[in-house]
Amino acid sequence: MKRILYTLFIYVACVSCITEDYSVSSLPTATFEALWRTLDERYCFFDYKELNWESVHQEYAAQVSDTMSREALFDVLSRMTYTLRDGHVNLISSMNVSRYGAWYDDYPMNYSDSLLHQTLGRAEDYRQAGIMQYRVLQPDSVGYVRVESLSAVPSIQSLGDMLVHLSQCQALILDLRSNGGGMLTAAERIASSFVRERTLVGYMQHKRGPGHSDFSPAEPIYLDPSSGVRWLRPVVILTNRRTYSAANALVVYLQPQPHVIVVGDRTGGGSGLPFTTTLPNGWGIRFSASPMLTPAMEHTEFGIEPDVHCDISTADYSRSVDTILECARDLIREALEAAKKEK
Amino acid sequence: MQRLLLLLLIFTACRVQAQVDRTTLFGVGRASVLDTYLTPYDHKGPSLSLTMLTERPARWGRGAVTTMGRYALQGALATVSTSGARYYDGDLTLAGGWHYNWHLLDGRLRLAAGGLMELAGGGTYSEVGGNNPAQGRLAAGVCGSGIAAYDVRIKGHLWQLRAQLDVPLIGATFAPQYGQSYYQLFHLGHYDHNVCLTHPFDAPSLRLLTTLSLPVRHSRLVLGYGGDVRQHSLNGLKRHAWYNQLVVGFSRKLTLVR
Repeated sequence: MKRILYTLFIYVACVSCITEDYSVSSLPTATFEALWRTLDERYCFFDYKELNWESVHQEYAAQVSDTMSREALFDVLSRMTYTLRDGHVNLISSMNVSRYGAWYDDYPMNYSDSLLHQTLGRAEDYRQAGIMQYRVLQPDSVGYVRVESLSAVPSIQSLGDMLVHLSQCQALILDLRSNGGGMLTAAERIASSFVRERTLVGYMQHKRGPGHSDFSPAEPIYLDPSSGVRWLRPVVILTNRRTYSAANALVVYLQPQPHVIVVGDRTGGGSGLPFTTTLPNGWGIRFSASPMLTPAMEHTEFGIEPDVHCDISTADYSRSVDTILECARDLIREALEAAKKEK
Repeated sequence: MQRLLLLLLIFTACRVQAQVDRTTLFGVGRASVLDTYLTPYDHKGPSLSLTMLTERPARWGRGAVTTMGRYALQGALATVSTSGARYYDGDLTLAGGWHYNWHLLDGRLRLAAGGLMELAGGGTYSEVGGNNPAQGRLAAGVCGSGIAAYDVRIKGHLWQLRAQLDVPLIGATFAPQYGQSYYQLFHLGHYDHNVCLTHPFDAPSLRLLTTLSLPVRHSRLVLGYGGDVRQHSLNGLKRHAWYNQLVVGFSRKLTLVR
């Protein structure tokens, strides 16, 4: 009987309260520790990036004190997050949102609003359906689709209407330059219009615990063809360093397709599905939590190399020539001429 | 007409009569909510609840068995003291089962023990969640349940002290993995042990209701304390929702003719 009571007492004392031992102090040192620990336990690319997070702790803990200002703390914590080299890591406060931008700031822009305006023309010259703007480019009758963001999922109907409108064209250009991403479901919906059959487009993992290597097995991601209109003629995707996150995923989905070619600069990457949580002082922290992999089980966190690399030079900007777009049109022209000769 | 009424009276007397206790309680109190899927911090704040209890003799068991239904809706608006980050937390619980009753001390003390099947669903929404703003819950299980009710007569009126403790013993609950997104779960269909077996060692929980009821006209006023402790540690994630509430309501004893 005593043994039973003792066991019961131990159970009640040890098991009954489920709590977490994170400090709820809003002092700078506690905030620093909470941020470091949150990323330590939940960030997903430590092993891939071979980053020694312990040494990052040593370096930045020395810069934090409980007497420092909010601005100074934000600055130190932001710099600490930059060591992750990840555009999906943001420290969010009421005064600022930190963002790591070396993945695009250190490279050519390869895009401008002026060039886009020149391509699309005046408002009445092109059509707009949700996140897509499109028109037929003359004189070569090439379909041009501009997708600026993946913040909304286009309907099957609007995708179908667009592709029917562009069906007079022998090829299509999908411009994903400076598309910072949005919803993966939007990327899937668009990609489904360009595949013939159910296709393995990648894998996804998630963390099963706080260890840097505590990952689930990679689970396959399949893409089903659209139940609406499908485009199986040549497609050229335009990319630059700001093609990021869900837009990067769209490139992952479509690049292996035999009728798709990617032209431009390397994409920005961003292959970790982000999570958001809070710090005890009220700031938020967003970070990559679940890595996506290509069908060859490779990471694209640092971007995807295009099939044809092309930059817009300063001279081209001054002549208002979109070199990447022109490169795509040349490739289409050559491909169509080659196809004619074969016939 | 008199004959008809007499026949009706005889017919009614021949039918089995069943006493049904129906109690409705409103609760106000405090809640402490932790969900490490969303954030690792304990959120605390005011809570409200509505609980309905129905207890009646079962058709079987020779009068010693009662049937119970317990239906509860509860919610809390909880914040972290240092940051003001808010959770909206809520649960709906439906439970039903049976108790075996013992009447002691000339019927003044009733002790009952039994089991309840429980189905609970709910969610927690975090205002600052961004990519993962909410956590959903669905659980089913079996609770061990005990009741003690003591009737005491004060100035000719019958007062009742009552306590009920329900402890979930075994069940199954939905839980995402440590870092698994709902996109993976529900859009891609990547199942990863998301239906978990629960027992007192990984989900120690209880519902406690202690009340004092006193007669007021044709009803009984019920005052008391309601404690609802829901916890689990599953798939590397921890959750607790501790609700402590003062409850007030009314109870009516209805006679059903079967």
